[in-house]
Amino acid sequence: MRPFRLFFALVLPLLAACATPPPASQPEALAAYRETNDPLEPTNRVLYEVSNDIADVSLSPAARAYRWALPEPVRNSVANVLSNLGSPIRFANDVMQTKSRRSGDTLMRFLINSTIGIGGIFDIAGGWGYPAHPSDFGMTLAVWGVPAGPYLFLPLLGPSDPRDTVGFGVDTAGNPVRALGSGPAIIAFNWATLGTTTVSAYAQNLPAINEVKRTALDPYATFRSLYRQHRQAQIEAAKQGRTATIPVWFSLPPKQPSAEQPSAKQPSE
Amino acid sequence: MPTRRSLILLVPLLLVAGRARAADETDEATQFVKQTGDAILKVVNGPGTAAEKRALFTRIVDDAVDVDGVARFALGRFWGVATPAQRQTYLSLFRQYLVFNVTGRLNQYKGATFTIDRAEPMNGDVAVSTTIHTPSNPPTDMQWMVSFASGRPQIVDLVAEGTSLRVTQRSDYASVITRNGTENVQALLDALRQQITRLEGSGSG
Repeated sequence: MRPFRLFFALVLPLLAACATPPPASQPEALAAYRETNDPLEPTNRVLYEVSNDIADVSLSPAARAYRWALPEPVRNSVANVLSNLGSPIRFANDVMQTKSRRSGDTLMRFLINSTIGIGGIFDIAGGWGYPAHPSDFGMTLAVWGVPAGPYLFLPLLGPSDPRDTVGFGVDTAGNPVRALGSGPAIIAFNWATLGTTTVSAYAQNLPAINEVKRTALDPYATFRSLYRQHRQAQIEAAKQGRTATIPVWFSLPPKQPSAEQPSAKQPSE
Repeated sequence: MPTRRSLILLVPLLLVAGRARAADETDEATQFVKQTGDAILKVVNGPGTAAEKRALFTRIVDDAVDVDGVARFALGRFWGVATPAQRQTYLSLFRQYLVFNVTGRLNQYKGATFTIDRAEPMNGDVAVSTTIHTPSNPPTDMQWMVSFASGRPQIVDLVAEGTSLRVTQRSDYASVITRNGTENVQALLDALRQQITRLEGSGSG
């Protein structure tokens, strides 16, 4: 009886809850609704609350303990090792995005940091002019022209969209460590890496997350906006082959004609 | 009556003049960001209670930031919906909120230093890119958007790791205004007032 009730309590709202779009008589409101592109907002909000509650009792204490127990340089080294383990899949994505410079950066980083950087503990390559950059299959799909789709808030994984959800799945399945076999040691290693990656990333972002929760009027909408902007900037950087992040809306052409054009035209009239 | 030839000569001249002006502005914006950043870090790393620091910081914000411009941007299309009285209230609440919002973030920058990487014109403004080095976190990228619309350099936006402060603010506010399926600017004003009281009460920031 119990599991059934739980099932209905959890699954039914997911199927039922959809935001109602504004009527066509309000074109501005409708345009804003489309831009927000969050038709599952009621469901997403529930999942956001639940994930927050879970994180408050599990991930947050773990991240705080992690920050308390390990000094900054050690935490950075852990993050470096984890990042280095992700290099092969990042390289594969750089190649699939056909970005030669970024592929070269990732390859050099992996070669240098795995050897001279002692298994990735030290980011030697970064100082040698091979800076780190994000690259995953969600970005690859974006570079290929696949649209992001509606906003999703996934339990445990957080803000996402269909494109990034597929990307996460492909990256996880494509992890070369899996190719080594499926013995208990490999499984244990994978779980340990996943756990450490989660805690390490959460610990790194904890101050920023707390700050948003403290100051935002609507943290859900704020995280949604931050996630979209951050992703868009990463994708734009990948598309243009740049290694620094530059937000897309600054690269758009200005709507108004520039000052030179009218002044150059005027004498002819 | 100018001839076609003189016109053709005029275009590159105007372009050169425009570019020279842009170059002046990028230099000035770089200087401005350097000064403002130094002033902010002096407050962050200096002595004084949170309230004293906030007072000092409010002065820097009023001086260096186009607060009303950012406020109007953050309200987006609802600026047109708001009554004149609501606009007045909003502008004053926004200023207080901005100071609390940004001072809260500043605590993360204790002991920080920053380097200016480059400055480039962007959509009529100048984007000054900096890298912030903090003792407890990896270095982060921060872009300062500097506008010359008022005749003197003013900050109109901060972009951290690709996320714009004013765009994020606008999403937050729009969500509060449209939450119940209606467009209610008063809901935002109430929420802002509540949040400011709460942030004041929490003592940090």
